Amino acid sequence: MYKDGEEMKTIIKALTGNGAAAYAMKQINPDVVAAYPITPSTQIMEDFSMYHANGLVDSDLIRVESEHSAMSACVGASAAGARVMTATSSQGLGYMFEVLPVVSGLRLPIVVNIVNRSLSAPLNIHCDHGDSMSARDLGWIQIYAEDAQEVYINNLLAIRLAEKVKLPIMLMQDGFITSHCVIGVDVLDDATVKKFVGNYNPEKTLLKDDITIGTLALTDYYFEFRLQQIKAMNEAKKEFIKIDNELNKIIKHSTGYFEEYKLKDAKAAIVVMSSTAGAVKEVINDLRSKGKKVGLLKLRLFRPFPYEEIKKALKGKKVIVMDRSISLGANCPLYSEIKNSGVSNIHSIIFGLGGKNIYDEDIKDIFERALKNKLKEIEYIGVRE
Amino acid sequence: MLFEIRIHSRGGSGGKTTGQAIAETALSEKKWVQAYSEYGPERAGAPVQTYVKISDKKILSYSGIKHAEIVIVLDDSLIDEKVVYNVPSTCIMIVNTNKDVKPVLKKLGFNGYIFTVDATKIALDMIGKNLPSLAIIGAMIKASYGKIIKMNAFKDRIKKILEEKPDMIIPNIKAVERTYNEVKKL
Repeated sequence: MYKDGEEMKTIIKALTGNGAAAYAMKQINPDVVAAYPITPSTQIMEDFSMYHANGLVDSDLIRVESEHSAMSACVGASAAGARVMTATSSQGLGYMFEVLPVVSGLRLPIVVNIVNRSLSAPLNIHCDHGDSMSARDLGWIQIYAEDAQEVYINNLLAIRLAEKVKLPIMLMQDGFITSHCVIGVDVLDDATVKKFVGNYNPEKTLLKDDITIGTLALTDYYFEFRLQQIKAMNEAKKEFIKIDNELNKIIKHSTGYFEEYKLKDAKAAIVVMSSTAGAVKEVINDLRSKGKKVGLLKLRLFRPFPYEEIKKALKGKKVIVMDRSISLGANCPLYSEIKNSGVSNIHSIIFGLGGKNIYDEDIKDIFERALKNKLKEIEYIGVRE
Repeated sequence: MLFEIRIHSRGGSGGKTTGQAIAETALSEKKWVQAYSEYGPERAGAPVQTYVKISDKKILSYSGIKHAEIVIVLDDSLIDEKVVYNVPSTCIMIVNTNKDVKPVLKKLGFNGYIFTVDATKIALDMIGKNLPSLAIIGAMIKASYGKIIKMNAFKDRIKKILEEKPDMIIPNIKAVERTYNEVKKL
């Protein structure tokens, strides 16, 4: 599609994470967007409805009365053959919950921007990954972004990936930290994005074909439906790489299931997702200048989970997994998966719940204690006992 | 070189705009930037701190700022321990006020450079509204000798920021020129 060496046409725009998601949505120009804004994802819909009001998109913007309705409207539109997007956070995602497995079960390629915010109670508007993590087993692909730049890139990637494998996608960014921080974001011109995402041509739709969507499948066929979803997830892993590499030809970014930062020769490695990865990189640069071999594995793709690749990348290292969410009564979500991949020398760090700050000094301390074998198996950072 | 700026304002008074305008100008000068506000429950009038980081290389960490080389106070009723928190002795503090704030800042232990300008009056004179959020940046450019951002780049940026309110461009640029000329070092 794109020739190697073709000049990239990007310009820099000052955007927040929310602004980057909305800008990508403007360029994708979905057929239908259903909206019920919630903090901290509100600006996505503010920006998008401005683009809509100014005639820069020709999407149908449906204003609904709840998140449950927003996702239900998305289901109807997607089943009718439309390209559909929306956005939400926290309790908003919670209120969509009943419809989420319907979307994946019906194999509708809906793309949702989720601005991570902790779940109530107690009521809190700040970032942790409790909302998206509680939706991790519902058949949605999950991609986490480090900064506004990755938010933009992931949106373009997700449209192609979702439609290719017929699975819905959640795109995560950290509430406030990423969603409200203005940085310079490289963006493509509208025509290039239009060419990259192409037109959505679903195989079958409610409007054009004589089909039933949302059928009953009891003991005879339910399991078979589920097996098809499992196969689609496996397929998504392969397609993710292909589409990500194609996208890299038009906008350079860190490609792959995860980013390895000074990881190859590292003795101790942190595994983390989203904005905290930036602080970890800064600390790594500092510790490396003092001769300490530390590195980072920043995971992008959480569902489907790249077990084999991670096991290979972390082989022989002391691994510190940092979770910004918990699974009450069990190991933390990211830690569990890394452990499942077969990594043995491993520690679990829980941090930042409800937006609790994590400082560069905290990360430095974690690395230094890990190198001295003084890190406990499970530790909570920055919390009063 | 990483420059860190902290802006103290009240919810709805434009501190976020100040931060974003500085960041966008620095971005147009090919610098790497971050600009964000500290959020709590959204209330008009509540104290809000906005942070801007400007650097020659990519800023990786999203952790809070460590040393505010420049502090901008958009509302002088906000002067307390928070405005002098974590500032180096070379800190440049720019206060929107018509009062002599030196004694109170000294009492709080501030040893840096104090600059004052009545940006509210200037905004009322030039724009006709109490919107000093862009105007105050003129004083910052003067006080920092244009080392953070340049006046011309900032004026160009104002045209972009106010693209959809074209009649506000000239009054804002004039207000910026006035704070640049009228800012006083105490």
